[in-house]
Amino acid sequence: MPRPIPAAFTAVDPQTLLTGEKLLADTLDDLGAASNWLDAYCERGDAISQSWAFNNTTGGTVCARTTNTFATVASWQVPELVGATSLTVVIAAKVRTGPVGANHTIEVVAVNGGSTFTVASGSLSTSVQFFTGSVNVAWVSGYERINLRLRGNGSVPVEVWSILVTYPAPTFLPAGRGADGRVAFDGEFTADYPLSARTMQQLQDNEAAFTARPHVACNVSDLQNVVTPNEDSLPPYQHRWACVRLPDTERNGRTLNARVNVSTPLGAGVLRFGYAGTADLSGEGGQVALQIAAGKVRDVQVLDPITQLDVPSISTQDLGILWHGLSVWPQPDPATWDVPAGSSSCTIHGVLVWGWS
Amino acid sequence: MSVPYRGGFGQPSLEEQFSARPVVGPTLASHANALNHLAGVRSRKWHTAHVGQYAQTVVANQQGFVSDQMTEGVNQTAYVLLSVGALDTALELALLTSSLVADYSLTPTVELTLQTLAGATVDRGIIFSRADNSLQADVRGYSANRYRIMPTWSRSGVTRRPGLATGLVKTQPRAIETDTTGGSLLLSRGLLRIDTTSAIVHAVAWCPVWGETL
Repeated sequence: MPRPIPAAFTAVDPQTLLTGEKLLADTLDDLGAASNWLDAYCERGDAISQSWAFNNTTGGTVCARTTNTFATVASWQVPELVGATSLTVVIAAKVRTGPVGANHTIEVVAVNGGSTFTVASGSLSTSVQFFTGSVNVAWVSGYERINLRLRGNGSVPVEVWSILVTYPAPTFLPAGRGADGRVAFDGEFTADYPLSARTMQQLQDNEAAFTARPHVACNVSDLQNVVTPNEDSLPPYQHRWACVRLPDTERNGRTLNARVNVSTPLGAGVLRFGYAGTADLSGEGGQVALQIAAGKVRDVQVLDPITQLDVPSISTQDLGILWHGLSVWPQPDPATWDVPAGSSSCTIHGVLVWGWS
Repeated sequence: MSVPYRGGFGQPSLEEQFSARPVVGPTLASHANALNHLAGVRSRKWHTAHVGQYAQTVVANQQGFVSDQMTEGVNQTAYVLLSVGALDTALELALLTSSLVADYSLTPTVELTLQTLAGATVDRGIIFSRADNSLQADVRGYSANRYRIMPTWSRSGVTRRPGLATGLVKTQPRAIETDTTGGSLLLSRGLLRIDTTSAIVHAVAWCPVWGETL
């Protein structure tokens, strides 16, 4: 099979390649196999994973819609993976109580790609089920927008418990040089082929391309058009997420890209985004503050790239990899409550944080 | 054979690979190191899933913190969907939760189980509890019998106990196994089921137990 994707990754022991060892074609072939495996699987992870908790007091999740018309309830941006033409979608959903109506429907829409994954009423039941599909995407200015749309039947809500959107692994590797510069190997390293400068350049380009794939740390949306009112912003307490910091961050200038969806209904405000330490904004970490003008309505604010700090982390693991915090803290009504230090004086609807792998 | 890999990414210089030069072993070894790093570090899956909650409509519960009214006697179930990488045989989990402290009358716990989407139990699961201090809390009183709660991370740690993953009962926090006799989630998608007692869950982060060799 041309340009094969190995079933498993086989690590190449550098010791077998060092001076003094015989240069074996079999060993070099492993370099090509490793590159093809990475082409298929390196950094094709989760772009969106969001859940809504089932609450025993309310008897359902908050991501629920009863009204018998379609409406967008949640919306996320997904950063571009060069060459990807689709995204895989998994939905956990149910109809809250019976009976399941003919109009109960869930849609996941790729806005730019004009593609929809539909879960029709015939598939839904009153138990949580998992539905897997895909949407075709088109990247505009480096992003695709994914909308979750719900339709009830007018009396019983359809509710979503969780959504997962991932960059899919390809089933085959295309011939030729991709838009990101990588080329799948097709036997260049096997016996009796000369080691050429072209092959070495190909290997170099592939490695660089694999490090330039996006990794999403967190992706959050509020809810609109759902059964429960007042869900259209993050509630006023500190929201925290975690992010891996690699040991070569400083040397390679690896940065985080944060995009925050905000509104300023009460006038100009400040968005404060915490990005280090244990996600506590008390000062042990860093913070980006951005002035937000009055009159913004669901406006995506693009923060300056954030260089991750080398600070105490939630967890330290082998290889010097740290795991540290990100946070935003919408402030409570200042007319009623003291404003916590580090909180943001604007309405926050969503957060996307990602970095080049 | 286990091969060590590096946390940082590095390639051989382009000059080492010019056509006028002979290809030498160290250049190829550098490529092997780069590829091993890409597999060992950058092919791993890590992410944080945000868990949405019902908004508080009572003004007294909107004071910039999580109110005890949101956690007191509130039991929740959250389904979190995740992808697992080919080399992610174990995951460290971090839970962002709000709950009350030990001197309160309630006993908050959070239980986690890892399943396939078809319902097979891959890892029986772990329990975070106040009893063994594995469920962290940051509670700040502000008036009589009212508490402000800061969402706080609790970690499973990276200690692996594969034998406990398929046991009969949930255990104290440890790394979650993704490839057991109950099922395998390698290169697949799974369900992290979270059940709380008198606690609310705001987010779940997962990170592979990296190890030092491939």
